[in-house]
Amino acid sequence: MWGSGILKGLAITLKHLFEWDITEQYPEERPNLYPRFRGRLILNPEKCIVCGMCVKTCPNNVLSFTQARLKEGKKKVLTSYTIDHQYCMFCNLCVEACPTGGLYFSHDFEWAAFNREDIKFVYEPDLSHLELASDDAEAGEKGIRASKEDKNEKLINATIIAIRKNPAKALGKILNDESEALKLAEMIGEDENKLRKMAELIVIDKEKAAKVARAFLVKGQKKEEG
Amino acid sequence: MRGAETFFIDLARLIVTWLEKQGMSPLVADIVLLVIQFICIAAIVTVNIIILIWLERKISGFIQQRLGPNRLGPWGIFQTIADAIKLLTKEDIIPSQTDKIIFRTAPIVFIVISLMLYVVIPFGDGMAIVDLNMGVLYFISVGSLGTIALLMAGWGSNNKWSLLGAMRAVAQMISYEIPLAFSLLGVIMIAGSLKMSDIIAAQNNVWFVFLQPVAFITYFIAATAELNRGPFDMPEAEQELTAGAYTEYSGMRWALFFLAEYTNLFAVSAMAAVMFFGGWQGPWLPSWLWLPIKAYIIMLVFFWLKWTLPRIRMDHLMSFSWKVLIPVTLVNLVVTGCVLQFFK
Amino acid sequence: MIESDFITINVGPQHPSTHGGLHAETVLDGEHIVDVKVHLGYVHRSVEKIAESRTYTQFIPYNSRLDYLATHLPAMGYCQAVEKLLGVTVPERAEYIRVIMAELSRIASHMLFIGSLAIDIGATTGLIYCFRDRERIMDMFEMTSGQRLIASYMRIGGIAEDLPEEFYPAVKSFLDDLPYMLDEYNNLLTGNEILQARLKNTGILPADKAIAYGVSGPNLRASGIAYDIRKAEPYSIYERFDFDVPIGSKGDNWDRFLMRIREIEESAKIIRQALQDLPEGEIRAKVPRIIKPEKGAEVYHRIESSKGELGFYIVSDGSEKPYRLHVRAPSFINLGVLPLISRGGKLQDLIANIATLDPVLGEADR
Ligand code: SF4
Ligand code: SF4
Repeated sequence: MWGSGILKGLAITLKHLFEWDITEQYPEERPNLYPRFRGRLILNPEKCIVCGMCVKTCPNNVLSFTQARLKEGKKKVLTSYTIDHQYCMFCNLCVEACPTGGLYFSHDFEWAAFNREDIKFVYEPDLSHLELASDDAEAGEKGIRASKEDKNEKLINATIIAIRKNPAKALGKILNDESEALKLAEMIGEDENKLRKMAELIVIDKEKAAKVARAFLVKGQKKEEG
Repeated sequence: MRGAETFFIDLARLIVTWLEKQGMSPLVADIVLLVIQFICIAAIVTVNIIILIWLERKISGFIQQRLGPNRLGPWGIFQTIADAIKLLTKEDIIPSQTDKIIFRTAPIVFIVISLMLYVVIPFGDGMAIVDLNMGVLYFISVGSLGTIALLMAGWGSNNKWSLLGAMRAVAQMISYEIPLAFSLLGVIMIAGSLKMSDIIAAQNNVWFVFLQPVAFITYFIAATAELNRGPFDMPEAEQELTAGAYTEYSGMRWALFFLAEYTNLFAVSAMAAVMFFGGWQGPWLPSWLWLPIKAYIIMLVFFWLKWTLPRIRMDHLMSFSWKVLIPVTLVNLVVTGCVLQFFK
Repeated sequence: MIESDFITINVGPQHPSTHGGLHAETVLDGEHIVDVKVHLGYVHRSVEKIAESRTYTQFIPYNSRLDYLATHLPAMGYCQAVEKLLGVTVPERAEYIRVIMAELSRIASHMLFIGSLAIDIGATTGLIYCFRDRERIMDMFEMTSGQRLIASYMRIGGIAEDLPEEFYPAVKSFLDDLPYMLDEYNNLLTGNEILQARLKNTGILPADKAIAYGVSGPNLRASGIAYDIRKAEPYSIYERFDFDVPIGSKGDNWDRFLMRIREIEESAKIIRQALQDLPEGEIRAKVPRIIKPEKGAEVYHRIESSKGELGFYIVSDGSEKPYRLHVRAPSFINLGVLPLISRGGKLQDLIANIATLDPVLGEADR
């Protein structure tokens, strides 16, 4: 009969009208969280071995740190560690990547703040009692990105030496022609600046280096001719 | 018991005699009394609405297995008051493209019309402000004026959603006006009077809901539509028209619409109590308590329906009125007439 | 003579029932719809571009942000696509857990569908009941992965963590209670004459049009075509389970609504079987830490998500990041039929049509 469905629906709501509520009265009643609940991401600096895995795995650049080496034993120590929580997706990838369990999620979920800066976590230990190797503290400025620059720097130096020692081979890599490479090496000569630039280009962008080298050669040829 | 029963009437008489002693002519004293009565009505309506809104929230909460308002005061009873204060202090926004005069007057017209309904409602034995001898007719005709206010709101807002809402409101209210009036006619035929007190007196032995069950159901459905309440809340229909005719309103202007809807709700429920449930008649309690009790029970059913049913579609709504409700009420009238003639 | 004119209204992007940021520019003749134009892009986050700057593992959490209502399904699709690219076989136990999670996600998504349809046509209480029951699934997700809505639980080669002890009783009691929940929805909504009047014979999508527009998932099956990728081209271990593919007859809103309710039952069937056969063992295959597929390798993998055919097309350039990643988003393609099925209907039907097409704007806009 038309209307019986409506009556059934009314019976359902009437039944629930006299049932107890199922909602959680939040500030008084606390939610019971499961062990794996991901609240705030926490760093346990004692366990951290400054390996950088967490920074590498984070998809959103939430994590960053700076490091230094002890003068004795060359052990790495954290000089600061930043978790910029506003970008965190709570994906657990960093926690899984950390080899020592230095990162974990706490059950703290009440951390609304008025400013973005306020939810940023910065860990800066007092290292005054430790003797740090000074150069490393400078070089390791900005966590992984900094160390990448570091790596480039080393490569550039290596390339400069290689060009000096064996220009035909080092420059031949980009020009594919040993005689041309020798010419180029002659032209660069002992000019530190040019050498360095070339080496930088070779390390960072091979194609561009090749182009620049060719342009150099053409220019040199014109000079010879004219 | 006697004292409680006539408490308000005695009070009114006292005021009038006191005023006359002060040297006023009886006419002036009566007018002063009317003003006092009207202020009282306004106060009662306001308090009543605050309770009603709280009640609806609570009921809807319980139906949905929530608690409803529960922070301010015991069981959250001060929540509505806090909301009212918030609405009062809100910035008064009138969009620049609106038709200012119409836009501003619409809520006032709406609330005035709904307050006017209370003039004829007999709150207790002899406690109608004016016991008009065509009270029912007055109620129906004033009630249908609300359409104009909604149309004004919709047109004055200069907003397409509002206009759609207003158009729906007009179509709906006009089509449901007819079954509403027709279903009351059956009662009037039995009582033989349009006067509220006569109708109540006629229910001394048996409530009209038992003599006119079909009329009661059709009245109830038509009244839901008249009140724009779910499942017939076409003009507002927040899921389709955002807020229908009220889209551009905010703050106290919007609150006036809101208030007026609840004012209407109480008036229509009180009317149902008067027409079908014996009005203020009832044992033990004073008469001015019986009517609100009955009206509240009817309103609970309104709440229950609203929080259960989905919204009907506009064209179904119209065809339901013209193809089902009106024929049913007409048949009901014919049958009532025949039976009356037969038993006379 | 009264002149009448059409009016154009913008349903959305800020509208209570457009499920996120859908914008339907609607031309109305009174209450009748003359035309609808769908505008997208309000929730565009360039997920496909983001993929190009993330490693294969790093992109996993972004997947759930596509279809956040069925969190495990897109993540599962993506991980399987990468596994296909690498030729990794996932351990048995992980496959079973993946299926359980995927079907729970499907149930959650369909429950939300029922609830949001209810509220879109005005039955507020229906929404709350559906949310109440969906909450139990969310609890299970929280147990297993620690996150409720956007659980990054799938990993390339398996899953993140094994099921915790408390999961088994929770899922058992949920499956036991499911018939009662469905009973309640049926009594409150399905049987309701007003709802039937609103859904039956509105928004009709004929089968040939559905195919022509590339509609997939429950929306296609509602039009009477029994096409389910879990059956048609079984991935994971779906060929081991015994379940039916419910189909509708007419392709109207009513069929699309029923489809969801019946699919919840089928999903429950799959979960029951999977729980019974759940083997012990590894949960993650050996996958190198840095994933570098061959240069020029490409893969297209599709799964049956709760919205339809969800496909991932990945091209590798030999580096640790995808060269190009494309998502075939079912919500986006299903939305294409909205103008077709809405024309000639009422404004109120449009709202029901949007609700029954069940678009997730996070996925449609990507
Ligand atoms: S949880 Fe994910 S987004 Fe957050 S810090 Fe860890 S890896 Fe980065
Ligand atoms: S992965 Fe763990 S141990 Fe390594 S740097 Fe990060 S927190 Fe420290």
